[in-house]
Amino acid sequence: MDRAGEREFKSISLVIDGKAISVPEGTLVIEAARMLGIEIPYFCYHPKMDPVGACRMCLVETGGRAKLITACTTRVEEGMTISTDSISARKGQKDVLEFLLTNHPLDCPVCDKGGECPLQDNTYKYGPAVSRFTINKWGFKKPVELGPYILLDRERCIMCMRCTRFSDEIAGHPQIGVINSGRGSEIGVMHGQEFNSIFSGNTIEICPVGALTSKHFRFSGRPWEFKNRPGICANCAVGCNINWTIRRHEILRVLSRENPDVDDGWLCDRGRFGYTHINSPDRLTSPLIKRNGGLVPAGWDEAISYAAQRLDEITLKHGNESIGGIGSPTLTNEEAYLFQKFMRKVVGSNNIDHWPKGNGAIIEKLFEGSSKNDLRRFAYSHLDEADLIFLVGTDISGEQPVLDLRLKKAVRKRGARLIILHHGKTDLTRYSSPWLKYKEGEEMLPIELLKRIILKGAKEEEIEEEIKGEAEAASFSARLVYEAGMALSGSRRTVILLGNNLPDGLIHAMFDLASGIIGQSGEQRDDQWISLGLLMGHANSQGVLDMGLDPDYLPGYVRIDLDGPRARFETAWRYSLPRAKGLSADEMLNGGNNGAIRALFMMGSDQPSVQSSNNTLDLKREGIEFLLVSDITLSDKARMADVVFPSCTHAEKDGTFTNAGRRVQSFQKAIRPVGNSLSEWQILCNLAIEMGEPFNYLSVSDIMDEISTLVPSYKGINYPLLGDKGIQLP
Amino acid sequence: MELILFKDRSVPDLKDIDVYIGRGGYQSLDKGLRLLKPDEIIDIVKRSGLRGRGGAGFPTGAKWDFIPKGKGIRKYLCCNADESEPGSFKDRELMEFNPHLLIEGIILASYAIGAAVSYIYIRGELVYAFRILEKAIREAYKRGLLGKDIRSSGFDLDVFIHRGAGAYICGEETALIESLEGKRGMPRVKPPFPAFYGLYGKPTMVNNVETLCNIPYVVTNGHERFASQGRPRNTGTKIYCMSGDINNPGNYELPLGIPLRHLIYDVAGGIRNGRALKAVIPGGASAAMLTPDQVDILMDFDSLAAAGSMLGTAGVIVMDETRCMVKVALTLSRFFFHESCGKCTPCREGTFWMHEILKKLEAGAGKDEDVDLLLDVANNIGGRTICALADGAIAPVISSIRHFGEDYRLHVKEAGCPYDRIMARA
Repeated sequence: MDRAGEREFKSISLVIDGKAISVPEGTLVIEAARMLGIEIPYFCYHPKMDPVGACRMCLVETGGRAKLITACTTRVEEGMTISTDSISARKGQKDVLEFLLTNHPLDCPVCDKGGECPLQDNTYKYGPAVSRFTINKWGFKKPVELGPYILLDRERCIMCMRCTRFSDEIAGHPQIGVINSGRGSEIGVMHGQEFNSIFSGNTIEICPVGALTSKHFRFSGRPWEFKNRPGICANCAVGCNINWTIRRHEILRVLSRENPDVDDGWLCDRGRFGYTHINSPDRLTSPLIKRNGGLVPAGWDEAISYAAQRLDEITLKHGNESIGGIGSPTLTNEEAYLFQKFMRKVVGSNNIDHWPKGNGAIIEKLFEGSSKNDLRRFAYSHLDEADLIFLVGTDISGEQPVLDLRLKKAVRKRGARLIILHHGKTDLTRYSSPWLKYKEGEEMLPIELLKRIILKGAKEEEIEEEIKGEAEAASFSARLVYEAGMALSGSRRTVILLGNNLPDGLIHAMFDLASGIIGQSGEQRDDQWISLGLLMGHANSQGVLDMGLDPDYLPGYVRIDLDGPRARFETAWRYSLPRAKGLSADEMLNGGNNGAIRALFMMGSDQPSVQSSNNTLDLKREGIEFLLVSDITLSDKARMADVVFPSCTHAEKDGTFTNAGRRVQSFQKAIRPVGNSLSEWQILCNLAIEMGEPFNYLSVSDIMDEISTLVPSYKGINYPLLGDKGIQLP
Repeated sequence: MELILFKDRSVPDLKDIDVYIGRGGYQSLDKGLRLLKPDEIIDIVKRSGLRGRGGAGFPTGAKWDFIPKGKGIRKYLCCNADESEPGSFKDRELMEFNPHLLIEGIILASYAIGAAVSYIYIRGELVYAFRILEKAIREAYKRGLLGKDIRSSGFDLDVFIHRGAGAYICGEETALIESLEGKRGMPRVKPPFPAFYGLYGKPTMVNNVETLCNIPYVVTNGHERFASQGRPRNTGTKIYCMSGDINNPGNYELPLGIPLRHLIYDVAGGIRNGRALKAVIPGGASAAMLTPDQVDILMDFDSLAAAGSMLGTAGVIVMDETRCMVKVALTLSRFFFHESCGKCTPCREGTFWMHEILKKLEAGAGKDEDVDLLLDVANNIGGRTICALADGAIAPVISSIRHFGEDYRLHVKEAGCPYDRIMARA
C-alpha cells in the first residue's frame, strides 16, 4: 500500500534541455520537464491516469542515443540528460504527427474542437506543414451515439485511449473500450449497451481531438466567440469548480476547473449538463402580482411596495408570529444570512427555516461539545490519506458523485479499505469489504453491535448470539460485523461519512463510537485520527444551516432561546430579537399550522436539483392569506403565489456556497441577469428598505464582512481571501 | 551430433505417456526436483548458455534469475506456444509429436523460478496440438507428474492451457499476459518487466516452447554436454524451419551456427527446379532478407545480428530467382498491417501506409519518389513503438529496397510487375 508522506522519496537529478532539476524518484520525464516549464507535446498522457505510451507524441532524446524514448512512460534516472528539442527529437515528434494525420479528416472548420484542440495546436507547433499521405482516407459513418450525452466521430479519433482509461481507471465504469484492431480500431460499447456512466461527460473534455462531442453543445459555436468564466456547480453539495462557457450572456457549456481539494478536475454529468435551466425560455423576466385570479407582470417598485404593504397589514392584524419564511438550500450564504436577519429583525419572527432540510445541526452541536483534537471535522482531502473509509447510510455515488471518484481513487489506487453500512446496493458496495446490509430503518442494530465489539471488546460468538434474536433485521453475518469492528478499531486514519437523512439517534451513536475509538487508543499519536462528516444534500445545505436559516439557531448555531449568546446579535443588529420558538418548515407548510401562519415568504428556486421524486414540496394554501415567492421560473409554488419576484440563478449573481466538506467557495456573476431578475439579496434589501429597515448593503462582500464578525467559524473570511480555491472551515 | 529435441522423432505414438516414459521421459524430474535446489537449476541453465528460442535470443538462465526469490510471492510461468511468425512451425511439431517433453520442461522451469501455476498460451489455430497437449496434461496429472507433491518432491504445480483468439501480437510476452488476463491483447509499456510485474501483477516468466523443451536435457546431461554443440555464446541445437523454394521443406534440428549454405543445399536439398537463389529470410517474417552472397553466413544469433538480420525463430524462407521482391514485401506488409494491434501510432498508421505504397508500386502506379517515401515511412516507424512488431514489419520492406532496389525501379519503369510478364510468357 502506498501511504502518502510515509515513504522517503529519493531525489533524482537530471538535465533537460540544458536545465538542471532535482525531482522525487519515480517522477516521469514529462512531469519533470513541466516543472522546468519545458513543454513536451503529448496526447495520451494524462497526469491522473497510468502511463500508456500509445500515441508516441512525447518522443525525446536521451543521452544522445539514436533511439528516442517516450517522456510519458520513462521515469527519471540519476544523471539523465534529456533533449526535447534536438533535431532528432523534433523529427520524431513531427513524424508521429504525420502518422496521426494520415487517418484524421482535418475537418477543423466544422469541428467543435477546432480552436481549442491539442491535435491542431501540436500540429501547428510541431507538425509537418504538408502531408505526404496522398491516398484516400478511410471514411466512417458519423456520428455514432455512445450514450445519452456523447457522440463519437470515429474519423477524428487518434486512439489515445484517454476516454477508455478514464472510464475504467477513474470512474470504475468500463463501459467503453477499443474494438477491432490495428488501423480498424475504434472506440465502442458492447452490443446493446450504452455509455451511460454518470461521469461520461469528462471524456469529452479530456478527448484531445473532436472525436467525442457533446450532444447538447455540438455545432453551437466556435471557441473564439466564447468566454470561459469561473463558477461553482450548484447541482449537489460537492461544490465542484466549473467554468461557464459563455457567448453573449448565454451559457453554452460547463467545463471543469480543477480544484485539487474539491473535484480533482472532474465533473459528473448532472453538473456538466445541468445548466439548461439558466437560459431557459421559461425564466421569469419581471415581477408578477396576482390580480383577478391571475398573475400579471408588474414593475419592481410596484411589486415590492405591494408585498411590503401586505406583510405590514398581516403583521398588524395577526402579529409578527403569523409570518413565516422558508428558504431554499440553493441560496447563497449571504442571502441565507440576510433572509433570516430580515425575518428576525424586520418581520420580528423566528418562523424561519429552509426546505428540504437534513440533520446537519446535530453534528454541529456534537462537535461543539467535543474537545478531542483527533476527532476531526471532515474535509475532502482526508479521503486522500485515509486507511479506512466507513460510509453509513449514504449513497455517495448518487448524491455526491464527484466525491465518489475521490473515494474510488483511495480504494483502487491507494488500497484504502472501504466499509459500507447501507440498506441498498450502490456503485461503491462492490469495493466494500465488508458491506453490512441492513433492512431500511434497522440501521441501529449494526451500530450497536459495532459499539459492543469496539468499545466493550465483545467476541464474535457473542455477536452471533445477538444477531440470532434479530435475524429478521440483519442480512449480514456476525463474522462480517466483527471483521468491520476489528478494522475500525485497528485503523489509524479513518474517515466516517454519514448520510443526510439518518435518524438523530444514529448520528449520536456514530459520534459516540468515533469518540470512543479515539479515546481508546490511549497513547496519543500524531498520525492517528478519525474524520467524521455528515454529507449535506444540496448546493448550500451546509451554508444555510451555518447562516441560521433555522427556527432554533441564529448564525453559527447560537440557540435562539439562550439569552447570553443571543445578546451578541442583539448588539450587532441593534434590535431585541423575538424569543418565541419558531416553526419549522414542515410545520409552516402543513396548511399554515392551523392558521398560525397567515403569510409565507418562500425564497429561492428549487432548481437545479432540489426537487426530486421522493422530495416534493407539499404546499397548501389553506389559511395562508399572502404567499410571496421568489423563483427563477413559474414553478408550482410560484403559480400559487400572490406576488412572485423573478430571481437570478447562481450564474448571474455573486455569492458564496459552503460545500459538503465545509469549504466556503465564492463565485462571481458570469452573465447578466435574465430579464429584470434580481439576486435574492437585492430583493431582500429592497423589501427591507420599503418596510423601513435600512439594509444598506452595496454588495455581497458587505454581507460577508458582517457574517465574518458574527459567525466564529467564518471569522476573517472575506472575498479577496476566498480567491479561486475557497477556504476550508476549521 | 546429438539430437536433443528430435531424438525420438521416429518413435511412433511418442505423444502417449507410456511410450514417452519408456524412452526415458520424465527422468530429469528425479534429479531436478529431488537432488537440485531451484537455484542450482538456474545455475546449470545459465552455464549451458541456452538462449531463448522464441526470437529474441535472451539468455534463459539470466532471465530466470530476474524473478524475485522467496516463497511468499506468487509467481507464474507462461509457456509461449502462440507460434504465429510466418515461416515458423517448430513449436507446433514439438507439441504435436512430443507434448510430454514440453510438460517436463515446464515442470523443471516452474520449480526453478518457484511457480506453482503455469499456463500454456497456445495459438488458437493449433487445435490439433491443443487437443494433444490437453490429453498429455491429463495423463501427467494421473501419473502424479502434475498436481500436488510431484514425484514425492514436495513440489506442487498446476498447468493450464489457454487458447489464443487469433492475434499474432499475443506472441509478444506482455500482450500474451494481457490476453491471458482476459484483456485486449496489446503490449504493455516496459519497464516494469514481466519478471517483476507480469500476469495479474505478479512476477512472471514467459518462455518459448522450444526453449522449455531443452530444459530436461540440460538438467539431465549437464551444461557442458549441452554447450558442447553449437558455437560459443550460441550453444546447443536449434530447429530450423525450412520453407520456400527448396526441394525438402520441413523442420531440421542441427547445431546453432551451421552455415546457411549447408542448410539450403545439403539439408533442404537445394533450390527447386534447379533455379538460382535470390533471397533468404533467415528468421521468420520479421527478419531482414539476405542475398545470395551472404549464403555462407553462420546460422546463429550473433552472426545474423552482425549481418543486420536476426535468427529469430529460425524460420528460413528461401526465394528463388523468379520471385518478385516487391510482391514479397507487399505480402509481408499486408500481414503486419493486419496484425498491428493499433496501440502505437507509428505502427498502426505506418504499417497501413507502407502497405498502400507497396500496393501502388506492385500495381505499376508508383513513381521513384514512392520508393523513397516508402523507405522514409519505414524508418520513421522503426524504434518508436512499444513492442518489436513494428521493427519486424519494416525489416522486409527496408531489406528488400536495400538489396533488390532494381526490382522496385523496374516496377516504376515498366509500370507493372516484370515478374508477372516473365511468368506469363513462361
